Amino acid sequence: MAKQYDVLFRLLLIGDSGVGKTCLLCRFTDNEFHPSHISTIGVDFKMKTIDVDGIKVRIQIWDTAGQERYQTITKQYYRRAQGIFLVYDITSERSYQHIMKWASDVDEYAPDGVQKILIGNKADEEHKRQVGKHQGMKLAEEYGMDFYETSACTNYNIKESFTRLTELVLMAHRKELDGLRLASNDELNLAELEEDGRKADGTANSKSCWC
Amino acid sequence: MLSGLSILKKMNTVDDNEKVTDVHEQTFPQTEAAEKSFSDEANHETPLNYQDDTIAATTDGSSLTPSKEGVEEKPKKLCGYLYKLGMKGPLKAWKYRFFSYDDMKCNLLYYRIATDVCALGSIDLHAATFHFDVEAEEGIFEIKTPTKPYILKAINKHARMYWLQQLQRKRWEYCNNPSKIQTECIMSSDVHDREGSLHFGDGDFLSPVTTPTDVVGKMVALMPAPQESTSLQNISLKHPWKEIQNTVRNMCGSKPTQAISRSVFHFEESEQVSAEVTTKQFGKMSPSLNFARKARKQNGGFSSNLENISSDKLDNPQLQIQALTEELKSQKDLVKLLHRTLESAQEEKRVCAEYLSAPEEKDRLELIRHKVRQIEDLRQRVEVLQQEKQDLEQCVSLKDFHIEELKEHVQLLMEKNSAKQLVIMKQNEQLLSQMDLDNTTSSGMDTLHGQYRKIDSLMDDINAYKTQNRFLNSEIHQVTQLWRNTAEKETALLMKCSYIEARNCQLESKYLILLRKLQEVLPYLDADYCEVIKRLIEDALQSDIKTPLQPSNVHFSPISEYDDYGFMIIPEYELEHLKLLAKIQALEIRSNKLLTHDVVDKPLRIKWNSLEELSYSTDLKNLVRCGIPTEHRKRVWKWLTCQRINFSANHYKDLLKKCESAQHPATQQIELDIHRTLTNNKHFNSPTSEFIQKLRRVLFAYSWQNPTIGYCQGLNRLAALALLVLEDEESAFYCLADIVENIMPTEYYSNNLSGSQVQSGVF
Repeated sequence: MAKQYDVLFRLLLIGDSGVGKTCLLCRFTDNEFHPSHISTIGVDFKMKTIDVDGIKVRIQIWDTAGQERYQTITKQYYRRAQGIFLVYDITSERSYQHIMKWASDVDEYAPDGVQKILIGNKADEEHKRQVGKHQGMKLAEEYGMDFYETSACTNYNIKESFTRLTELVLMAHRKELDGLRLASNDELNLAELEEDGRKADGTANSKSCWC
Repeated sequence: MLSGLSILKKMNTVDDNEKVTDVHEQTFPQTEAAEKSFSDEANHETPLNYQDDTIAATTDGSSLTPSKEGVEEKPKKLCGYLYKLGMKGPLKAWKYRFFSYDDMKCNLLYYRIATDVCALGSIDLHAATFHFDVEAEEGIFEIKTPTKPYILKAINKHARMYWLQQLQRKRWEYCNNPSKIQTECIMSSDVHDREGSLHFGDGDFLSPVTTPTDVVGKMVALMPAPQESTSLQNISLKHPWKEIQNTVRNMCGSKPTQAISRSVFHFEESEQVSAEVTTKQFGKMSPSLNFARKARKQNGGFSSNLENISSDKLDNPQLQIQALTEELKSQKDLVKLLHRTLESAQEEKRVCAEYLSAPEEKDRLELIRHKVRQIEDLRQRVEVLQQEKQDLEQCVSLKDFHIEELKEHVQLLMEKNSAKQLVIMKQNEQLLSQMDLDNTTSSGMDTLHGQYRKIDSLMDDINAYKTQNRFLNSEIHQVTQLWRNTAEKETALLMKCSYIEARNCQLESKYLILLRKLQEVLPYLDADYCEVIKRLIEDALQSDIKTPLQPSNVHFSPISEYDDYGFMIIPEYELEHLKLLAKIQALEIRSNKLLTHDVVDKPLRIKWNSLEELSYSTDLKNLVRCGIPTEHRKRVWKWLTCQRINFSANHYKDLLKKCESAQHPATQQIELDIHRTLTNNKHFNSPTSEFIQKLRRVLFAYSWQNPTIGYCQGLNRLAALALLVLEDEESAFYCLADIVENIMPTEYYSNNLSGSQVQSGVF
């Protein structure tokens, strides 16, 4: 049987507790929405294979606990992520304010070539909105990130945001991918990718424009 | 048909021969003769009548005696006349019925009269209870079946006790007859063994009542119903058809006693019975015999009187004889007198003759002198006699005087006596009046007597109640034993049921696994197969797993979406292909549960149930390590918590007060997490649930119990589980505190989770 994917990426969902990280993930992977998930303790992950430009990409999405004290644990996962969702809740000014702290953590612990995307979740709860869309866009621009307002509840912008980050990661690793493809037309292996990623850190870094 | 008849006839003739030989052994020659004549008669019957008779006889036999063997084995057949209270309809009256117990069905059948063929009804005894009331009319007792109570009346207390005891015995015999129970359950052999060892344990309570032969038994059946005159009252309005059948049967028989005596089975029996009856009648006749004897005696007396009368008639000649003899006597006296006068005359004549014959004067003179002397003598004698007479007269007068005196004396004494009598009378009167006084004073005595009588009646009552008590004790004893037996059987059956169910579940899950495998390879199969498999899958999904069975026992709770603590058992897979998987999981869980329930859980449960007080011991440790059964978890958790945590009684309340006055910084996180706790549990999935409120309070309280930890994500789950098990929020709080502070490593939930990081680093 043919291998089910061509490449595997690790994405990470971070943000304050209760902004809806787990909901985003469930909506994306299972297309389900539960108004009440249990609070995530430590970390959790789900997988999904998507097709981007003809490449079967297996994405492993790590869901983290939002409580501050769990950051000591979740930080350990930053290092191995290729893409990071920074999630805030548009009905919570506080969670928006905390994005800066999360971003600085990412800078500190994540590898340099990591792709990031800003998500303002719970866009369906317009009546409770505390953070304007422009605020989000402004912040994203500040950090050089893409920005999506999403709603796991209404399935708004979910697929788009996830696909977008995958594409970004793919683009970031395009060079190694191409090289591998040419070399042996074989599928990427995570370990190889990681190794290559580390080697190619410098180049990737130079390529990316945001630092 | 014809051959059957001939066989019947042959059998009968053979039996008749036997009978004749039997009869020779009997001691009643006159009955022998009667029997012979009967058997002859039977032999001369036409075949048709013959058949009729045998049928009638056998059906009669079935109502009176189950079979010939039955007669030999069970000499005592429980039957007899009782009064039955009509329950239905406007007429509530006592009806006189013949009751007979049927061994085969444990039924008490009742007939209008003993010779009836069709029962008017039956009382099912195997699930009935018996009862009697002391205060009710004598002889009344009650049989309560699950469907209907029956009120019956025996003619006296003794008969009632006999009936009740016999009924109990019959019920016991029936219920413990192993052949009746056809269960092949696993435990049944044990149950039967125990049943075998069980005996009718009645002796502890009531000594067996002697059979009142005059009111129960077969013999009674042959006696005419005592209330034939009022039989109209006994006619059952409820069963007109049976009534008619019975009467028609009786009329067809036309000679019911003959029919019975002619029957194969009843020949000897009726004979015996008739013998008994005759003796009985003799017993009853004895007074009349006595009367006869008495009469004869009286007759005897009469005859003697007659003799007297005849002798009176004879007395008349005797009197005549007496008169004649008296006459004779007087005549004789007269003759004597005449003789004397004759003698004196002869003497005078002789003297005269001597004087005349004296030859000489001198002699004559001599004779005269002699006569003078004689006269002189006689004169003296006369004088003496006169003197004597005077003396005697004097004496007589003296005596008369004396008598007078005595008479006076007697008069005096008489007077005295009468006076004394008067005195006595007076004294008597006095005494009587005094007695009266005594009586009036002893009117209390009367009341005392009344009380004595009352006491006596009360003593009687006490005795009656005692017997009732004893009877009810025996009843309770027996009923509980029956209940226990049934319960054992039930558990055995349930166990078997659970085994079967488990096997069913296993098979079903295997089948579903197979289906799933097929589903996976569906795309590679032919369209036909695809169709078939799809349909099979659809069928399998449609058969709802939630209501496959409704087990009666609480231990095997019907498949619920939730477990004991309210967690969802069956995962909710939205995708179609995963529904099969969900079902497989559910079935496997169920089969495991069913299988482990008896094999693993039961012995453990027994051990747990025997634990009264908890204390540290290796036994308890081992038990806990096997898993604490749900019903004991609460107790054990509470106990364990109390062993380690020592807070003041109001500690929790104080913390709650503190929560009201001050907010811990963790409050916001707690609020966020409260609705994200055990969302698949039915107690926590509604925001208004009581458990949510409890959880909030517990977590708030804990944030102040240990402010450095405050709240760590995950504590909500611990607290929620503690709440589910312990239910009481204070206990849950102590449990949470115990876990965080004593059980888990230090710093495990602290601000930087250093403890848990160390743990994850090590393991």
